[in-house]
Amino acid sequence: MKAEELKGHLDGLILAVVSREPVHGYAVIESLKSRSGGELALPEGTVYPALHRLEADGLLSSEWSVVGGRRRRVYSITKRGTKELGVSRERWRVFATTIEAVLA
Amino acid sequence: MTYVDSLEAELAAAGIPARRRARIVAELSDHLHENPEAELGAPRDLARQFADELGTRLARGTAYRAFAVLAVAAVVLAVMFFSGGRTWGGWVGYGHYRSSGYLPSWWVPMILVCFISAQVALASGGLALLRAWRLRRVPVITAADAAILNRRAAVGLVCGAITMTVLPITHFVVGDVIPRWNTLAVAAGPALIVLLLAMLPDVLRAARLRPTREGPAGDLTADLAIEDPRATPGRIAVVLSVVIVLVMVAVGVRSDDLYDGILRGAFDGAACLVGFAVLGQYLGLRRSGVN
Repeated sequence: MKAEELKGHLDGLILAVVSREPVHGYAVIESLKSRSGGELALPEGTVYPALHRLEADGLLSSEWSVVGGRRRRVYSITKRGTKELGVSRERWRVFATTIEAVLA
Repeated sequence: MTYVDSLEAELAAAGIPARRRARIVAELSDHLHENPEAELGAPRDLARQFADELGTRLARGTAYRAFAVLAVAAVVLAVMFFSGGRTWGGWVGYGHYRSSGYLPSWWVPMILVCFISAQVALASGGLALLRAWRLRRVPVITAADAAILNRRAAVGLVCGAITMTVLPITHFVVGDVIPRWNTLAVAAGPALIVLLLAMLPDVLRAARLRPTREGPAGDLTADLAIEDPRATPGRIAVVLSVVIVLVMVAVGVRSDDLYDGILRGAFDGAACLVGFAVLGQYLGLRRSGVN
């Protein structure tokens, strides 16, 4: 799937990944790849500005951890983020159902 | 030069603050450690993406916060004028100032500056809020829009601080005549100056970290979502001035002081037009170099 097709869905996808457990940026990208069977192969750099934006919007929080002597920023979902994820899921459900009804 | 070095240089060029820059570099270094072959995109593109995302939020957030602080100042100012009006036994107008023998002449230009700066502050802060609200769902705003938002916030805050500077001075001049002003003038004036000026670093940060997206910013008609081609920014300013004159005259009539109402209406209406002529382009009310 091309990055262009993911526009508008990236935030929901990131929130869905982070909602499972606190993760760092690289793990977000890997999770998106593995959970989509490799279909969601984003340009990796694009995820980081989105993570920072979601944090600035109060949907994610983050803190440093140290792994193998390296600093690592780990992201967690906030209450607002969980609520927004619910909205994204509902929006997607309506969208997918509508398109399916037309295409089927 | 490594990828991370290039990225750091591009982030600095894009206006990303040092602390945020260090964080981004640490995150991307960690990413490259996990996967040295990762394709993170060109450093310049990535830096611009950060500037777009963060600059948009910063410009909008600064506009919202500037308006919030200005709204507090406006409430204080309104309370002062209403309490002053009651003490004087009527609407606080220029006629009262002129006819009252206890006001020194040097105070008149000062209070005029106060009136003008208060109106510019409120107009500018309100316009900042208006544009920020109009763009609230836009993921990345244009550099021109960000510039307009910052200018409106900056002008609002500076003019607000000027207005509040006059308040403590007012206390020494008319404190004996209008006792209700004393506490507010002494306590609220300096506190609000600090509050207003404390916002300026945010404006400077927003001015440095601007989105890179190109495109026009739109003028006052865009702010007001007016699509009628006859409604030009200039015509809107004229209509607003007439409305101001009528409102002030009506207030004067209600306060049994038509003379004050006409005088104040003429002054405020003219101030609106002069403000539009002088600051219209800079604040993005009409088309300019940035929009």
